[in-house]
Amino acid sequence: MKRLLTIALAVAGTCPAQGPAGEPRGEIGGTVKSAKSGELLKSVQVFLRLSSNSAGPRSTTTGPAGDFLFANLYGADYSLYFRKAGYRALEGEETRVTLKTDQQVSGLDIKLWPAGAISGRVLDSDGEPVPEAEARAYAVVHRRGGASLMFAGRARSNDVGEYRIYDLPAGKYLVLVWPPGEGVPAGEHYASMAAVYYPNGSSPSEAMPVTINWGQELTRLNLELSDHRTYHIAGAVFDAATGGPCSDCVIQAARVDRRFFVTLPNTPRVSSKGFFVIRGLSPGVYKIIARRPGDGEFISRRLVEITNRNLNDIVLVAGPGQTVSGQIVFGDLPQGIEIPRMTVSVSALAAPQSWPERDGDVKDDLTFRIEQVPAETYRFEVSPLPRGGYVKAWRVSGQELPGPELMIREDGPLSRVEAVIAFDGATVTGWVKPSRPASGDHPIEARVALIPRENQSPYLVDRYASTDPGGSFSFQAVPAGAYTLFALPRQSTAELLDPDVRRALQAYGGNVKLEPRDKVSVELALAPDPE
Amino acid sequence: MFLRYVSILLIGASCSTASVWIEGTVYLREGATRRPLSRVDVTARSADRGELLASARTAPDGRYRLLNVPPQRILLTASRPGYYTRRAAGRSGSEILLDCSAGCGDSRKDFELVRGAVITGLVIDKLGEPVEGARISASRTTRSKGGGDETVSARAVTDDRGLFRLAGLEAGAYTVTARGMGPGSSNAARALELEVQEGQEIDGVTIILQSDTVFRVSGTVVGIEPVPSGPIGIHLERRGRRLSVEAEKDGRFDFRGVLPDKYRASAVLPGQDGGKAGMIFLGVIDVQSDMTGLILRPSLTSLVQGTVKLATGPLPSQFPLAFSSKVGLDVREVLVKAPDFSFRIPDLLPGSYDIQAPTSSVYVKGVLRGDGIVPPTDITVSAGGINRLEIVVAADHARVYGTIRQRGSGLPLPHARVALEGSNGILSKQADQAGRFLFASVVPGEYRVCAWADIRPELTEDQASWERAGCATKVFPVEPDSDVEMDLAAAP
Repeated sequence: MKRLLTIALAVAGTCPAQGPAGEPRGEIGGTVKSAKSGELLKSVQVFLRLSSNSAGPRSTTTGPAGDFLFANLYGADYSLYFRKAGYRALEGEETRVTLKTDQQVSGLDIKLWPAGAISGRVLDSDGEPVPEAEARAYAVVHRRGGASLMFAGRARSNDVGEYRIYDLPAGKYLVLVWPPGEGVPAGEHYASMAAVYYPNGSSPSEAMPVTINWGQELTRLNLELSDHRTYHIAGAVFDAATGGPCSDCVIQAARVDRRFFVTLPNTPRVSSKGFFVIRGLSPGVYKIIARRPGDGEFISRRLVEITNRNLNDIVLVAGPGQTVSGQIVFGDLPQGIEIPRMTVSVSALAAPQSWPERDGDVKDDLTFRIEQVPAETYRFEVSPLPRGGYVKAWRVSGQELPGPELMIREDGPLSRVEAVIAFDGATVTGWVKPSRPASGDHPIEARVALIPRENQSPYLVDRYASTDPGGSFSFQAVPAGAYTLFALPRQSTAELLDPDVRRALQAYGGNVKLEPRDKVSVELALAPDPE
Repeated sequence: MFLRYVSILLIGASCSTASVWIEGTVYLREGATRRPLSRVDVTARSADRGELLASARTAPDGRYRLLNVPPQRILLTASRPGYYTRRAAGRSGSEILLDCSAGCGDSRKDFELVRGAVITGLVIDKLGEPVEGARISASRTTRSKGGGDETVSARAVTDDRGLFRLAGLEAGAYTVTARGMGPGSSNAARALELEVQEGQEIDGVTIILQSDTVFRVSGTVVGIEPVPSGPIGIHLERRGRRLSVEAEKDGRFDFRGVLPDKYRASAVLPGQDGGKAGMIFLGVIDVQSDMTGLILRPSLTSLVQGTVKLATGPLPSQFPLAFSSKVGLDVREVLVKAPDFSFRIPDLLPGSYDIQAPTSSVYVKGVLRGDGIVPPTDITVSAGGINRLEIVVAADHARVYGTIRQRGSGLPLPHARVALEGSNGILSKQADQAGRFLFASVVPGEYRVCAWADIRPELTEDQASWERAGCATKVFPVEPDSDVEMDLAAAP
């Protein structure tokens, strides 16, 4: 979720200067510090971009006092980004400044968080180093329905088998290593070895997650490749448009383990006859994806399982995907509500992060059409929603679906899809009190989460809001149901959808049961960051 | 003896009934000894198409065997990370080419590998902050008959801590360069010269990435007569590099992204039928800030010509002479050849020059003046030029060698650094594993010498390092054609 720090005018030192006509005199400046230690950060690259313009940004670097300054600016809306080796801004956070003509904004106080790292050695069963192995870290993220993996970083082992994955935000990670690929001299020797999940698992569910705090480096996470029996998947891919072999197609394979989805690093070659082989696979479920790059991007995928033998004759037909069509249905639309330009989008539940995004604009007659959707299971969304509205249900041919997820099949288009938008949501407002009595006039920087309690409709989703400097927050258009609210420090990356985290913070949770159109006020205590 | 081998064929490769077997042993060479080396990947590739035909890994006894290799021209290589192939037994080069098109008679091929050297270090910016993503390269210059051919031996990229590691380097002298990009500016580091021995690990190398600000240089060139019919090119040259723009018809020119330095400005005139007519020098520009509104006019240049005479020693058939301007411009080199050993530079700017021979085979002893020889420094080139400059060279270099030892114990100190400082500057070497060093071509003269147990090469040029080591005042003479042997105690 994107969070914005919008900094208005009236920062100390605003002194409109009178210069020659046409010469801009606006300025934006400030300092950059470590959010953990407060240390002034030197050599931070600072980029300034017009919010309305995607052209190349201006840039500068902080000096010995951690300070930066952009001068000769016109009045406009600007965005600032910061980059420094070993540091990160919080996820989705950007600094925006609205500058009037000749305005000088100084004293921006920017904080960057020290990133974490994971390091160790890749060894073989003789204890010898394995160079050119690819180590990867996946962040364990919690969504409605359970945990899933998001790729976070990679590194190749050096000549003595050392690897280091850095630039990691605080959180939980799975670490795995793939043997060297075919492109290196040792590749053939390791071709029959499978990936190892730290500490020594052969699948994501056998892995032991590791936790990193801000600025922490986990060392000695050693991984050992060994000569277990592995298998291959072989087959052919065809082009649905021509009927012939798809030698241009790119094959991707991913290990599927519950909701964990780990993409193999190596892309097997597709021969001129469309044949491919994926080697070095341990028993388990795999999703094989064939993509033909180009306009619209043809895709095909198959789910296969390796038990105790090789899989041959796997056939994929890369086709243009299906059309999904339907309409928006309003329930009890209040008077005077403006209907925005909406878009219906679909996001694949278990697919590589590079899976194509698809969406369709909602027309004036409230119908929509999404073209070339590859066969897969998707989560459907509508945005932006009219003020006060929420998606109550999705229907297909009049039948209400149990949740906002739909499978698109290869065998035909999907029509008569309806998104039912209701306006009978509840409003939850509240205030976060500091964990200790406030001394001085410190703003409360908290992140408030509204989490549906378990065993309820999948249409109830988690929501997040930031407090204002006074500690207040609000949630609008909340579907009826039972929820728990938590307030955490803004920099916390704790996964509140992780049941273990919620149990640990139970004492700080505020429970609410909402009926349609309820107006509820809650006071929350600021929970400590569990990390 | 346990012999383990793996031979892997690619799926789809055809198997010929006349397939080839190749086997052999891979050895590790360490000084005068060698022993079998395991875990070496031996690969056979098609010499014509590059496809992988077979591969195997050596067993603990160093042996490998490749089975059922399709007959053709085969390129055989042996590799293990951190090592390099010194030479294939009986052949030169690191690969073996087998012509097995009609089958292979002798299919036993051995390899010798040598443990490579490692250089690790840190890249920081001028504020001492680590630089992530800087590209590091270690290049070795090998001289071919036509000149120097630089070979990049290893590359690395710094991580978030600014650290890098270059591994598997052959013994020899390297130029280690770091390059990175900062916002709005061009970054380049000073290249370091490092010498590595077999298997040596050099750590703690620090490279400071200078974030250079670039400037704009613009103006007008005037006074070129007759006015050329085609476009005029304007060059800014420094240290062998050239920036070029095309001037407008009215002579205006505009350079962007100019690094601060002194530049030699020149105009290149179009010749008839599109060929270049010649070059006109426009003067020296010292760029330290944005420079706009410059007016550049043709500068007078001078003809310098003469001959080279030999004082002592054998004279090579050809060698370069370098005229280095005292105002910091590019070095002008001219090649002097047998039989007359004359030289001619038609367009040297008036000024003061040092004359050197950038080669190890001769050195410039001086310039003949009357009956004597004056040092080849501060030679004045006037507007009228010099028509008979007689330069005296000699080939009576000395050798300076010895052993660096620890203070106190007197034991030889591996990989210590030694430097000689004379009138021609500072020579620096790294001792070998036995603490021995050799300067093979030392120009006779007076020198200071110093040795350190551990020092970055560039610090040998820092006088404070000499003073701290207690070497600031010791001077010794080096006579022509002499051998000077010395034992040195290293400063800590």
